[in-house]
Amino acid sequence: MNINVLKAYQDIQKIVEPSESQSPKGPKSSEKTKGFGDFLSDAVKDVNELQAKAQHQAESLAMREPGATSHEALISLQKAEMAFQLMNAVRTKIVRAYEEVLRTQV
Amino acid sequence: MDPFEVSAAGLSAMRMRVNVIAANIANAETTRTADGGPYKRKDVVVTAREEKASFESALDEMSMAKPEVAAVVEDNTPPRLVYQPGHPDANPEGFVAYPNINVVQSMTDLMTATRLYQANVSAAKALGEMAREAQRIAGS
Amino acid sequence: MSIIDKMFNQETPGFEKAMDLTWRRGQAIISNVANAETPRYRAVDLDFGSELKQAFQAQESDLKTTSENHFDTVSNNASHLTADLSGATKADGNNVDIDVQMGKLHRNQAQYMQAATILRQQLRIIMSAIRGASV
Repeated sequence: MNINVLKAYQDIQKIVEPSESQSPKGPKSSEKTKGFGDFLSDAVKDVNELQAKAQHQAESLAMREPGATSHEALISLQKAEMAFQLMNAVRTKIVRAYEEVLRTQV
Repeated sequence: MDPFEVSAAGLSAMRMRVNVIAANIANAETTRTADGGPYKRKDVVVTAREEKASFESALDEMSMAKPEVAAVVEDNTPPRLVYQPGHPDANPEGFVAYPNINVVQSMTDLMTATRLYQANVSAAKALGEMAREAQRIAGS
Repeated sequence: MSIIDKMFNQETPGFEKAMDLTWRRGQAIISNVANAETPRYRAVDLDFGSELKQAFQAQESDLKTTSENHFDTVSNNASHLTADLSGATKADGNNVDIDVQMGKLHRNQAQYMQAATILRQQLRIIMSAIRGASV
């Protein structure tokens, strides 16, 4: 088994909060939001794809198509849920970043 | 092929076989039935019903085989004749026709059939446990 | 490949494949048990080939691949049905040995449940990491 909890946590952190080293030049605020925007649109795409896949597999299972296994659909459903949670986390960070920017502009 | 269906079909076929063998044993001494004449030993003919018309290989065909009872047939070998002139079912020569059932053989068959039925029950249970374990993956 | 895919592909493909293969093997064994008395039925089994090993190799490698072409496809040995010759052939042509099959069934079930448990734990840990990061 090769679960590395710390590594998983760090990976998630990296996704949700891209570090300054990824955007070294230019005004700090706009560079930061640009990085966030990319991650968010990728995350949204992921979520759509995974949810579509999960939906399709669940339907195949319900219609008892040959080759449809119960664990396949269940795993996809779980991954879709996790992708959604991740997207949510990214979205929350973006909203907070904007709020912070708005505060400092006063 | 849905393994639940295959398992259920196996249970169904095997249960019928158990019942038929048990009926044979119970009627080993029945000299007169409603149709007249002694009880005739019965047997179960099982075939595998395939759902697809053609298979890529014999292996595919086997892996999708769903057992079913094609027929319950009667054994038409002549009955055992026993000389018992006083018996109500004796024929004019004094012989009584007894069912052509070997009780010892039937008991052995019953034990085997019961064992196979129980194995199928065990297999169906294992399948259910696997499906339930997979369900635990979703929703944490 | 998406962020999410990359995240999952580091942890789960091996155990997902294990569940797939053991489930399909279970189907073959169930068929054998159900047809233990079907005349002319020949027992079958599922050979995993190198599918499982490859799935775990993909998981543990440091290569961030975007296609399966990066892996050794020369020795690609897909899983396939095989004839199960563990039992003797009876007079009616059936060769299922119920004791052997039941042994296989229970061992296979244990493997399936084990893979399912590990996979479930992995997904839960990742989910916790996600939830922890969104605080």
